[in-house]
Amino acid sequence: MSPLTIALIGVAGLVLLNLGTAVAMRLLLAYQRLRERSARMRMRMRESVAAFAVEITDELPRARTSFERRLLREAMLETAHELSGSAFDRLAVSFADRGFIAEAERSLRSPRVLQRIRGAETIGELGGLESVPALRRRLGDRDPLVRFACTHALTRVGAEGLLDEVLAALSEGETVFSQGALAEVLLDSGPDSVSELRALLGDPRHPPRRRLIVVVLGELRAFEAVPELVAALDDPDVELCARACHALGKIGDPESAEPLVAVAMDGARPWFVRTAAAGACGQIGDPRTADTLVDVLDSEEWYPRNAAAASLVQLGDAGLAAVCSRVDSLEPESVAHYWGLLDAAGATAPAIDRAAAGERRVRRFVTAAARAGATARLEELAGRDTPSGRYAIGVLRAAAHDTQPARATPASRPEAVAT
Amino acid sequence: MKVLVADDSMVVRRLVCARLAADGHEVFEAEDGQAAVDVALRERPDVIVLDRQMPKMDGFEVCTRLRQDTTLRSVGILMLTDNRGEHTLIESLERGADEFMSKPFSPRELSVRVRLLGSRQTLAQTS
Amino acid sequence: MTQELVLWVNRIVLGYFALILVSYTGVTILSSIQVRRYYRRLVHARLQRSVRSRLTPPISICTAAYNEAEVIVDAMRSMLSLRYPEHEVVLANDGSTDTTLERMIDAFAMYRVDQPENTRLKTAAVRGVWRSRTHSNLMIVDKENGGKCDALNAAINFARYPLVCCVDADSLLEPEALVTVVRPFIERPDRTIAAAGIIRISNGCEVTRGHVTKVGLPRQWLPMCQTVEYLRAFTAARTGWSLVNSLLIVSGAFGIFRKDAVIDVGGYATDTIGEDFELIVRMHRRMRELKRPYHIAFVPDPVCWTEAPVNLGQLGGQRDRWHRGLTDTLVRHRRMIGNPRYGVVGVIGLPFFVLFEFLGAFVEAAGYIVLPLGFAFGYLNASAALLFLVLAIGSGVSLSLSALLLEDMAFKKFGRWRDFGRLVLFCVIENFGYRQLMTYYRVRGFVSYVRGDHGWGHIDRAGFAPDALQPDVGMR
Repeated sequence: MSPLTIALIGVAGLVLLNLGTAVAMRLLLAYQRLRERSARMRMRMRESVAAFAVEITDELPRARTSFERRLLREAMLETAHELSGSAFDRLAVSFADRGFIAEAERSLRSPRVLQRIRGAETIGELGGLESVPALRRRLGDRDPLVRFACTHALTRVGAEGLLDEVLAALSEGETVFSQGALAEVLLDSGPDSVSELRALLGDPRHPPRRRLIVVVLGELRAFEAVPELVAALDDPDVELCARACHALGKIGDPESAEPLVAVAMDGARPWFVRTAAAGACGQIGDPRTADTLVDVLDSEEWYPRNAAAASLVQLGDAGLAAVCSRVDSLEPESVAHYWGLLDAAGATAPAIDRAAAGERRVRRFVTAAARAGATARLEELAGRDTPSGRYAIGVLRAAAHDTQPARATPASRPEAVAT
Repeated sequence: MKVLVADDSMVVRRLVCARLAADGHEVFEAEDGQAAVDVALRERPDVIVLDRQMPKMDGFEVCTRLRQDTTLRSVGILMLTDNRGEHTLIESLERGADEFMSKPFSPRELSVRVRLLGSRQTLAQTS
Repeated sequence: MTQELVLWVNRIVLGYFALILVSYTGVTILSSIQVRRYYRRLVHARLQRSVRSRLTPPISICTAAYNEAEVIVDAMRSMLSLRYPEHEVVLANDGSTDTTLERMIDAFAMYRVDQPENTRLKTAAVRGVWRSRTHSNLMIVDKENGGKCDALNAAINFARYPLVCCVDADSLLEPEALVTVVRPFIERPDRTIAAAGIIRISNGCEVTRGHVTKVGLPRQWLPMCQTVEYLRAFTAARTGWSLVNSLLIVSGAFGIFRKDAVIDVGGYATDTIGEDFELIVRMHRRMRELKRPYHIAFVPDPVCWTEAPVNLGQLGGQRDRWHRGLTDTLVRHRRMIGNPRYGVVGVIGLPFFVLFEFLGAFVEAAGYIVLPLGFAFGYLNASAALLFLVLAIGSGVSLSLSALLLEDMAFKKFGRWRDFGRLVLFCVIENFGYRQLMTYYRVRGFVSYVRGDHGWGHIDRAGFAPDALQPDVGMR
């Protein structure tokens, strides 16, 4: 056969294969859709389920054919997703009564991966503790997606004391889903699992897992875990330290302010750890940290400075007072940075008012900020015929005469920035 | 009482409308922010149940717009939103929402809150 | 002598087309595996869960605009209303000379602030920063004109969150765009440094206020051909490349990056027109040089729409520019090509690019010119010429059809039979004229590059032309 014929056959074959498959799939889909008349029926089913959920009716619609049952199941899952409280419980009970949970448990044993996943998901959404044994059996499934779905379902139905098994199932092999799956599972396991999580935090074997646990403890606002988190601040794993800072900030226990402030000041720590610590101080809101934060504010590095400035803004008046009392010794850049974040929070106008009213320290602060280039708010007020407006004009004029060059630091200001 | 339900999720709209209709209120629906504002201006509801994330105009902006209108300034607004975050809560209240509920929600709770919100509004108007 | 030459050209060209057919089919198969996997995960990933999850990372949308007064307010409004738990929009106004800034200030009640800037990326001077009273997560960085890359860098400097999404201001994002494309960052937070989504053509779709409300196919033939091209370039190819962690293009219209990774490599390069392609290659390079494990993901879910050029002038300019950018990037990073130090990217990804994207244009051009002439002058017989035709056109049609099949299986965006039929028709038509034209533009791009025309040409005056894809479109 000549090359031409080979080529013709080959190409024609590929083309027909592609086209044929595409057409076949479309036909299949169209046939399914026709058979199902799905749109209208789906709508009606959803409405009935909604009516049942909100206690308008006491009976779920009948579902005789397998197709109707499928629609009912989907409608119930969809609706339950949006509900909580008595409505949710009502749906859950009827769901089980209609045999859907049993069906889902049977799907867990299906040879098809998608079926198993759907079964686990269904149980996770509307199932209860009765399904825990079935889910546990599936934790050893060879497909990582199924394992994830089962672990997730287990935490959602509220199974307790299984965290170890769950984590083992997820850590098996190098699966793509480990991190995200783990995080979601841990988060869903809720406040009841905090004691287990604290214990697991002490296990030094899995650094990524420890980091996740710290994040989750923060999200769960686990007050009981504060001692472990404070201890984690001294851990050799610097990433863990940083996350522990974030978590402590979220939890907001004033007892943790002191260790955090120590970390923020500790020059030996990497910049991201100091940044996290400084940021957490602001979230905790202890005014005693303001002074140390001003020290961090004067840092040459942008990120820790930014975090310190943000925290000082969060500390409100205490922050402002701390900055004002030391404004003469601060670098203009630091003053401008704090002013900038204060401005974004909308608190510079009141400060200008206070300065206009005569408070000396605040005046020095406003002047220093203006000299460092922060003039937008002043310019806005300058047009008005108010004491603050007149004061603002004065400050702007003085700042224009007195140009102070910004500190040239290689770390944060590359040379070629145009003025 | 007239209630406007604005949410882009059909499931949520159906649940809320069914519950409120069963309570005896006159219910209007809106699928997105722009429609919510239009319907609100046209029908002058007593209470509005508003989702935060909607296409065309989000719930916050709808809140701000409605509060700017003189006749709708005192309408009761209940924010029903996905996000449980603290800053969403704070921002909702700052924008003028009277009540805040997060999803997943309980229809019974919603029903009670809407009723109380409505009666508070009528009290405020008559006094 | 001439006969010898012609025959050699013939062999090379035919060999090239055969090679294309085989290797691109291979890439498509890889893609189909990945798409299937993705589809499975999609079944249970439940996007709604991400929207409600407290672990979903916040994103800063960075976008640049130059003289887009007509569309900017709607575009920004649609970006602000994306369905995502926490995100902000940072718009860099690249020294627009029209009323872009004024319209934004009016529409969103904006006021100037003294926001501190993180100047780790060098940019043209920033004139001011504006925030909105109605939307606390909207910010405008007003700056001197410096080009799109410069503007994006400025926006990145002001971005607050650890992830940045670089988008063209006139791209239309679906409400679930961010939630969909952020998934790789949630699943593998320690490794993922960039993720891309698919771009679709919005000509022919109904667009209301910055959102695509109804999907449709364009009426004109030029955007239709581009639609087919995009299908091939995206679903069929990028997915496959991402599987072997060699994804080279995160398209200009839509991609999510880790902010610190972008700043680490120095942001977008402003002295090249390679833009996103160049950035991604640089990121690959840096991570491999540092020997750090990393992943650049591709999310095959179509979430971003952009308008395709409708006339040949614009289209030609666009492709010309892309090919110049491609050449420029390949030249800059030439040491990576074929270098095992750069792993899969160096050994397979880039050489593939050079061979098929870059050299391919010339081989094809040679084929289109030499072979018909050869046949006309009797150096080649009919069957050889026919063979060329069959391979050239057949490979194009076959690859387009497989892309269409893949797309249909996974996303079913083009529902009606009429649309399907039209797409199939254009899979064929595209090869008669359109493809040849694109080849011409690509060769022309290279020639202009060699001649020293490294700039944007006259197009930059008109703002950022529709720029969805980067140079790998035009793939066979």
